[in-house]
Amino acid sequence: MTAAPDVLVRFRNVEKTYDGQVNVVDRLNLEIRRGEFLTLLGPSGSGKTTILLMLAGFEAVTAGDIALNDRSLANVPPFRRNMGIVFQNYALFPHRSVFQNVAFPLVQRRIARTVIREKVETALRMVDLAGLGDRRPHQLSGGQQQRVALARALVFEPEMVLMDEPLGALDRKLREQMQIEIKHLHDELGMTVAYVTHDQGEALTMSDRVAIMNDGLIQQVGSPHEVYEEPANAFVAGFVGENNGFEGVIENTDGAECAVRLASGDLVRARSDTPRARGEAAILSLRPERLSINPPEDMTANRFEARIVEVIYFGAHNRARLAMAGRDDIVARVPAGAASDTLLPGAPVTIGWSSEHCRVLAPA
Amino acid sequence: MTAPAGSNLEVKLRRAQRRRSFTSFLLVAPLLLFILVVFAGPILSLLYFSIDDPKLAEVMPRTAKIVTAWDGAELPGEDAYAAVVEEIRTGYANRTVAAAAMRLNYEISGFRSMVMRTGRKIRRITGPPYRDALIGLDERWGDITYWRAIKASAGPYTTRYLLAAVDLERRWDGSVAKAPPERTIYVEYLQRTFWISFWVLACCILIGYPMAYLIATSGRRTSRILLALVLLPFWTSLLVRTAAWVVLLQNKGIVNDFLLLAGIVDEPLTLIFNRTGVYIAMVHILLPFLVLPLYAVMRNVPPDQLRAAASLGARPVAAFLSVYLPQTLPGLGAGCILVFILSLGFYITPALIGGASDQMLSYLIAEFATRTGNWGMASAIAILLLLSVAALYPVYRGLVRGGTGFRFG
Repeated sequence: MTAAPDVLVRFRNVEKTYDGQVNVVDRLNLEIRRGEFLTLLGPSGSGKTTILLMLAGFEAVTAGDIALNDRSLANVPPFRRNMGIVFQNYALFPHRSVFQNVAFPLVQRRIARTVIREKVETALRMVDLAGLGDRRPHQLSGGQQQRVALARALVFEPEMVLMDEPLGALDRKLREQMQIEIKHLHDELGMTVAYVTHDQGEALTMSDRVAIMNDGLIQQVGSPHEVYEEPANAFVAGFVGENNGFEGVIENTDGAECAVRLASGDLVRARSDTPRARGEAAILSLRPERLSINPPEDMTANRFEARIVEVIYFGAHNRARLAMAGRDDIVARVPAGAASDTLLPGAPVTIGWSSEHCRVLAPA
Repeated sequence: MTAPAGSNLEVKLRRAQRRRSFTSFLLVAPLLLFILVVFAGPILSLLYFSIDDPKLAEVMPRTAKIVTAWDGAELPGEDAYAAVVEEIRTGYANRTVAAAAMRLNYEISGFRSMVMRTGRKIRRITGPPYRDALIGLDERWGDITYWRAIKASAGPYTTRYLLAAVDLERRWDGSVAKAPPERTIYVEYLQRTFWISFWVLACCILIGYPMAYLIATSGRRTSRILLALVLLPFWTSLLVRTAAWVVLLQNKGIVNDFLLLAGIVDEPLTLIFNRTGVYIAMVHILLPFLVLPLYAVMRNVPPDQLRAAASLGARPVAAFLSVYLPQTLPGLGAGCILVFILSLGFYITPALIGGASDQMLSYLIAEFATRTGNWGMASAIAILLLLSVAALYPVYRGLVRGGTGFRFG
């Protein structure tokens, strides 16, 4: 038996409404564990940033309660919450030097000057900005500004760090580099991070756990592997990674395996984690990389005749669009190599997938 | 072979730059001309008027020449008296002597009537010795102070107006000293002008800063309405707005009626023809000049700056002082300097709403220019006002440039 996880923040039945009619955040029950990297992932307007703002104390909770270390935050003003925040546009103080920016939280805490100098220099070294303390923020590149913001949010050793789409303004290459750097910082320092993003790739790369939001509701909380491989519903399957969705009706079940009849009449064998009843409407989810073109002979569960509609070159892989079962938007991801070079638009092919990798989900 | 090619390139570049700077000069030429004509011209003429002193020398050129050479220690010689007699005689006949007499009267009041009376009786002097004859007509011609006054008025240039504007005067021996008490009113006016401007500015900041903050941070609709309210007074003339305040502030005006009705006061407050009324009306008129530049700057301060400060542990007051205020200083500086400079030059509002002891420098200028026709004095005071404003420019520069460098806490 494992010990209960060490909970740092607990949202209990939290609701938030701005206009008194629609809840931007609804029935939120979520725990953030000490030392973990938790990502709130969702499309814009799903309420993820509002959750962060409530946690930081900038937005009042309409109903429910947020507790930090089992103490309610209801009457704790933002400046006493001891949370480092990294804002989307950095929010560096333009009239102060990099050093003064990073020293700001320490000055506010009336820490001795010599200690401040030492801590700020350590923090700047940590984010690879040693020697740039005298610059003004506008003299730095976007990536460097982001590092300053990071150093400023970490230097006072806060209870936790909140990041609101901190990499949104960076170009792709820099973004990917910063993702790795933030992840390494998290591994080294072991701080608790709540991270908001709409970029599923970012969420999968960096997080210990991902909470997927839609319309103010949490759809699923789990490790990146869980939310990708075992999506709880059609929304998660569609939002995290690429997905082929099929609508159908359960024909029969055999333990975890179900047979689903599609509208086109084809019968697909798939796996369900929850028991399904015959005649129940269901949505099938199949990842493009699990769909094989010209499958090996022993893959017998799902074999269909299809036609290639188009092939798009992506360098390391090709993306083939296929027509089958009365549709022409089935996507397969084919690794680069000899096999993929033979794919020609219009050619008839056999496609297939194992029932293990095709999941039955409840309609969203 | 790269050197000649390089120099050739340089020549081409220089030619292209010359062409471009010539075109841009042509573009700004009308503006330059306009500024010269309507701005530099009047200021230069103002400067000139304040030192120009031709009256006496025009009417009595010989006298002017003789007293200029005279050292002023003792009564001048017979030649000076002869010149005065002759030139008053011709001047009186041509009716030109009044202008010179008027000028002399600036030095010693009563001098004008003394010259005119001498003119009336000048027929009685038929020949030398002119000195005794003149003293015979009016014994004040034997008083050296009158001769020194003539010497001071001999022109063609004088510093008396500029000195008088700061309550100083030049003695006959050339030393500068404090003017006699009956003429030392100008420094008091200057002090009062600065004092009123200072308090108007202070009130404007107190009301305008939160107002600009509200406009900059509230929603689009609200901020548009508030901004319109700020700008609305601009749609009517200064005179109308001032007149409206006259109506509002009277003892039986709306403001007093309201205060009485609300039970805040038992008897009507005296809000007009005193300093209070001047402050109320001037603050109202000048407020937009503070709010608009502040608003422009505040709108560009991202709202998450204060959130960032709070998240880093700054209490609201500390966050405001160390993060928000420094970023709005350029706007505040610009607004303050606008309000202060504009209020230094206020005329209509204190004239209509203020009492006798609430008038500012502009009142004196208008008084000299329109009522007594003393352009020298009017120009000198205008220059005093101009210099006061110019002295504030470095303060403004410091505020605007230092805006991003200021440190608090």
